[in-house]
Amino acid sequence: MRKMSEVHEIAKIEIAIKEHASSLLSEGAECIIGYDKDGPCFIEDLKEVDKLVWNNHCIHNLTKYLPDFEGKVGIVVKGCDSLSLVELIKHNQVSRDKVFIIGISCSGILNEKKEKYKKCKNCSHPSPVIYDVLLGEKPVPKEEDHSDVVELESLPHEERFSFWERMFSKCIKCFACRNICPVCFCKECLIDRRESKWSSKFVSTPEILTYHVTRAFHVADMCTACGECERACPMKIPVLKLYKKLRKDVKELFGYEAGLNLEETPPLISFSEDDPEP
Amino acid sequence: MKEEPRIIGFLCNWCSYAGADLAGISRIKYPPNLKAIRVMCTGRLNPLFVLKSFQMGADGVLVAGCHPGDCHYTSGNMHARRRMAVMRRLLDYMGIDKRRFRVEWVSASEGTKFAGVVEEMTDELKKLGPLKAWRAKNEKNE
Repeated sequence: MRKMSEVHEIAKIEIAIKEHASSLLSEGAECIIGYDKDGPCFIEDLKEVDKLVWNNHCIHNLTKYLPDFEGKVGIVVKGCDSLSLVELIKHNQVSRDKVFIIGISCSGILNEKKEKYKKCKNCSHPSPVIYDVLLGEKPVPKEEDHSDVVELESLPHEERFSFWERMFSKCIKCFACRNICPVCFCKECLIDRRESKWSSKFVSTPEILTYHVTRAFHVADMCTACGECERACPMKIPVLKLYKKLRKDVKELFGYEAGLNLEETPPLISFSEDDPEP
Repeated sequence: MKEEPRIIGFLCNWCSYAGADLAGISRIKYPPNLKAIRVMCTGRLNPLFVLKSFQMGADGVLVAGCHPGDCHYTSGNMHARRRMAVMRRLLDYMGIDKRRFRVEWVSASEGTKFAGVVEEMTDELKKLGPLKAWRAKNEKNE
């Protein structure tokens, strides 16, 4: 059960979103990206503003849709989504002055079973790091949880491999994890090239592993662990366990965390004299 | 017959390839398990080359380039150092032992070091055995 005050808070946020959406649209914004009762929605008409909602089920990371727009866009962004947005701006996929960010401090999103999502339980960024307006009261951030990665790291190599083999044997290569990833923004993906020798059309363990390692490496210094890949996976493969490892490594090796600010240079396109040896 | 370990070596044109050459000219003995691939710079290596090598049947991968600071292109190896560090840890996490993937800095005058690295690696890989699980199923590997 949610407390009365929380319900009140949520309703207040919803009203504020609607107000900001109408004022933005009347100022000439092309679109407002927000949530309606079924999921993501795109509001282009003032009359439709009432469709917008905010509740405990607004899980989608809406920043994925941003690079598709050219004009000014308003977007509803939670704490975790704001990290992806920072990465998109940093990698020149979105220009900061063309987006109005309605930031929401969120206290966790519920899944179908009315439980908090795993990533919400240990949320390190409940409040957006970048915003134009901030709605909601600031919850207390928690330490990012790497315990599952450390646990797997402690196993011998054979067991690690058999763990991944078992998990990825379920993979049907639908590429949902890639398609939903906000930082997988390449227009043409290496995996899709038909004549490419990089990926084959086989669906056997080595090929599946190659696909996932490839993707993991490509997002190594951009992944913000927003968890959309894991949510989108129809086979319920814990892919986030792979990406979290990279986040952990990049932090340990180069002291860098993706999505925190617009100034820091991504580590894999820069270097320093005293880098650790591989 | 026992399978001999196969090592793919990506050697940079300016230092390590010349280093390997020197090892040959100086008649230093080292195991014939390494297949050298010359690249212009370690910075040219897509870290996925390493993954692909394992998939195509390599048991070990060696990436060798100029010592940091000595790169012919100023900073190619510095970039490689970061990328390979991430890739090495990632592969280890996925179950490819760290010892199968080595990154070494070998200058053109270090023929002995090059031979030593290859010898060490071959010995280690013999102990570790072949890496079959990662091999793609195709006629080349069967």
